[in-house]
Amino acid sequence: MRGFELRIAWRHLLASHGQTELTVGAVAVGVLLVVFLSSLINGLQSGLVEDVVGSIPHVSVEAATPDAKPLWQVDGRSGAITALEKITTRSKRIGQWDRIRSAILGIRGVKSVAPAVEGDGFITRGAKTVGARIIGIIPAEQMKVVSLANRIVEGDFGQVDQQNAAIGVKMANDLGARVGNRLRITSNRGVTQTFRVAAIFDLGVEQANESSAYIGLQSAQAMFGIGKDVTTLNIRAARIYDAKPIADQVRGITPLSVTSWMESNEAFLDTLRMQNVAAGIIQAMTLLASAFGVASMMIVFVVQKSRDIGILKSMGATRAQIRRVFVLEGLGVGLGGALIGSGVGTGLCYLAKSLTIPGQVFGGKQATIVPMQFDMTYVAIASAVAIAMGLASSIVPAHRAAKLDCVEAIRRG
Amino acid sequence: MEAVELAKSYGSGVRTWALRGVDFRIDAGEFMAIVGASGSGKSTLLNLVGALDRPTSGRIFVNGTDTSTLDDVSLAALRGDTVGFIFQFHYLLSEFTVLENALMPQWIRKRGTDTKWVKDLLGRVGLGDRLKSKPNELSGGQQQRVAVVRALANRPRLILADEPTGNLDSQNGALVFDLLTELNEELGTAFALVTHDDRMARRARRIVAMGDGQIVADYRVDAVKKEAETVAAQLT
Repeated sequence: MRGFELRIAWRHLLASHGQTELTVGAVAVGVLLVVFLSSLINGLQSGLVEDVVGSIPHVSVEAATPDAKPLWQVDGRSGAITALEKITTRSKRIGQWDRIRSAILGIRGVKSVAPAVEGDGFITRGAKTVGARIIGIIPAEQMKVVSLANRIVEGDFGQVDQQNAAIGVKMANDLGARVGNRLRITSNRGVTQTFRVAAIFDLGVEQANESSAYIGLQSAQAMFGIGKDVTTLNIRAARIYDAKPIADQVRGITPLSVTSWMESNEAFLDTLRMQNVAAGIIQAMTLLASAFGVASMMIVFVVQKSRDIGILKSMGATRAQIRRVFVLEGLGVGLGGALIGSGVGTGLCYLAKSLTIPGQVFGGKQATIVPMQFDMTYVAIASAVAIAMGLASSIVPAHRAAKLDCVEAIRRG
Repeated sequence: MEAVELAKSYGSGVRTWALRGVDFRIDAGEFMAIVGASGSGKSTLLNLVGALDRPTSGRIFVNGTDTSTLDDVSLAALRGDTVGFIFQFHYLLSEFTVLENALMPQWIRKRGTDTKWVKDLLGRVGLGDRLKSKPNELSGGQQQRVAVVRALANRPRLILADEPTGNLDSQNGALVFDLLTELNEELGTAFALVTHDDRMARRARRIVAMGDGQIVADYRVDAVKKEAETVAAQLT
């Protein structure tokens, strides 16, 4: 290492009567804030995303609902009837879904694909009847596309089959049903079958809790009269934000109607984006303030040390050497701030993460007061920025020091 | 070291001339005192000779090399290797110990450190037991002695001293001056001293008197003495 420059820089920093400590502190606070804020926002956002997306598939493929077809059109001026339409009663359905499913599974980033039959109907228990969205599934497959494990209030979702159903917690309350009770489920095609309640779930969405009922796939196929066909293929992406590109690719292989969660939650995603921008601005401002701190310290250093600079030059120090001394000082402050800031920031993140609300469980885990999601990437980025900033803010002062006139510097000090 | 028609002016509009065409030469091993009133150009001459500053006109040759042709890096090298400076104030770096301060010129030049040489010199000036002290723990005389050793660290052939005893009491001043004359004899290093102190100037072997930016007198004490003795002998 450049021994002389490093020695001088190091001693300057050590013997600065608190200036170094304060400036390193300012940089550290900047880094700490970036690390903590990023973890907090990421934690909050992934909590939100989990709430919104956890219980729904990332991408849904459905048979397009056929539009009503006009049969006859009358000139509108005279008659009361302007159009006659044929309303199709044929259910929308996906035939040969196994082939489409295999094709979708071949797309990069697709984790699993589960078939489902969806239709409307009603559920009766004793004298009580409620409208329902009846969903026929293969439980093992369905559990791969939506996270249900943490959302079962009672019973076992895996038991859902041709005799067993799972219903939402609100519906269970409305019907006064418990696990083990019997229900009569009737499809909109008038087919009725009796099921035992095998599980009660809480998807965190009022509507789903009130009206969804899961039954075995084959039962649903029979009740809606669609043979071996299904109405929906639900897709789970390996990475949640890959949903949109995956949806685009699925559109390329099938004319069916394809929707990703990102498309159906545009407003929500916009809010997240705005949040990220706001957080980014706050973090950039914080680091910028630290940068000004470093620059001002460096300028004071150069003024304080100008006589020393003159003396060093009289002993043969070149401009480049003097410049390096001050650049090293800036680098040192950036490095010190980055180390302390990321150390303390990481510690605080873990501390905040460990603060749980006693007795409260959320999503199968102890509920935390602050939803932190720590990532080493934040530490790496914040540290890199702090170090680069230390370097950058020392360039002008270092240049000024290098340019100092030797005789003037010694005489005036 | 030889200077030809050396001139230096300050200011851009109204020019103040600190030196007005000075021819000047320092030979190896010389011990020279530069005397003159304040503002007579003594320090300016020293700064130019030591390449701390560039002349407005004229040339300086060091070992036959014209310094006006050198770039900043070569000038820095010249300052580091050939010349040593002692100032009125010690200007030691407060964050470093006595030994580190004295080694600084070697660190800057990066050609390896000769710690033994520097330690010997520090012992020679009576600071062998203060190597690890910080400058502010030393007396004024001791600080200036460290500055003397620092100037010698790279074994320069010429030491330029701008009132090296000006900040010391007479006793310490005399001690430092004795040290300089001894080092001149022992090491053969040339010394050029700016001084206000007549008693010290008289102990130099050559005296250069300056006035108004010019050299008004330049004589060798030995030659003058010999002349005086000759005159005295003739008179008796």
